[in-house]
Amino acid sequence: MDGALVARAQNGDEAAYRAIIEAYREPVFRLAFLILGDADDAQDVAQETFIRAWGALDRFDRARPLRPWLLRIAANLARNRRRSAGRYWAMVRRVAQQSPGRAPMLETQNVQQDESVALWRAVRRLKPPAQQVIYLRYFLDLSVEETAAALDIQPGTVKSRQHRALQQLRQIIAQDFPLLSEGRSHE
Amino acid sequence: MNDEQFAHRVERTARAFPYPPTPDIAFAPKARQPARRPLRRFAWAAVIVVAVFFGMLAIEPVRAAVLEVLRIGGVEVWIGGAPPTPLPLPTNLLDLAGATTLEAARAAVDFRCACRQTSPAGLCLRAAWAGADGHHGVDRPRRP
Repeated sequence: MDGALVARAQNGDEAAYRAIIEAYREPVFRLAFLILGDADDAQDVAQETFIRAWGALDRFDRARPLRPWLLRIAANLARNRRRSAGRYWAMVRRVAQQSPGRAPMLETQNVQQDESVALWRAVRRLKPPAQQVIYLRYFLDLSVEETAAALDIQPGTVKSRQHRALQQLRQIIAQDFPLLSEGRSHE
Repeated sequence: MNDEQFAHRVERTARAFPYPPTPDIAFAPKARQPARRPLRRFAWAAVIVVAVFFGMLAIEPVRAAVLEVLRIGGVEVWIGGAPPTPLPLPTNLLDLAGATTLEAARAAVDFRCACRQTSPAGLCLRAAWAGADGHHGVDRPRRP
C-alpha cells in the first residue's frame, strides 16, 4: 500500500499524500506527545513532520517502509523543539513547580491507564536515546527492524539499547514508582 | 519477575497509555523543491567565497594588506613622522686655509688685523682670534 501511495505522492498527487497523512498521523502525533508531553506542541511537530516529509519525498526510497521514516523526522523535530530555549525555560519552570519525575496531567479512566501514565513518567527519567527505544518498541509497538530504521541504527544496537533501557527503567520503578513495582501488579 | 516478564509487563502497560485525541493535520502543499545537487551547492559556496573576498577588498586596510602580501603595486607610500631637519652647512666666513700673506689676510677680513713683532717671519695663518682687549689678530704667538 505504502509503495503505490508514495509513488503517486512523489508524482505530485496530493490526494495520495493526504491518504498517507491520514494513515500515519496517529503514530507521528503520539511519538511527539511522548517526547514533548504537550498536546499542542505535539500537534505542531506532527504538522511540521508532514510538511518536511512532503518536501523530501523525492529522496525517499519506496522500497523502504514509510512509518519509520516519518517517525524519525518527528523524533528529530520533537527533540529540537525540546532543546529550544523556550522549552528549556518552560521545563525549568515546571521543575520548580512540580516534584521531580512528574509529567503533565493526563486523564485516566482505569487502573491500567494509571499504571501506563506512571510508566511513562518513569521512562521520562531515562536518557533520551533510551526513552526513544522504549517509546518505539513498547508504546508504539514497532518491530526491532522498524525501530532501527527510525533511529538510524543497527538492529543489534536496538536490542542492546533496549536491554539497558529496561534495566535502568526497572531500577527507577523499584525506587520511585511503587504502583508499578512487582508486588502491585493488577493482573 | 525476570527480565522477559518485566519486558512483557512494560509492553502491556504501555499499550494502555491514554493519549490525547489525535488532531487533524492540515496540509497545504507547497511546490516541492527539487533536490539540490552537490555541484550546485559547490557553485553556491564558490559564489559566496568570491563575494566575501571582493567585499573585504573594499575595506582599505584589508586591500593594502592583500596587495602587500601578493606584491602587487609599483609604488609604496609610507606614512610616518617628518624627517629630521638637516643641519645648516657651516658658513665659510674666512677662507684661511693654507698660507697667505698679511696683505691678503687684511683684505679678506673687515676688522683690523695686526701682526705682533714677536711673530716669526713666514707666518702660517691658522685661525682668527679675538683678544680680551678687543683687538683681533691672526694666530697666537707661540711660546718657546
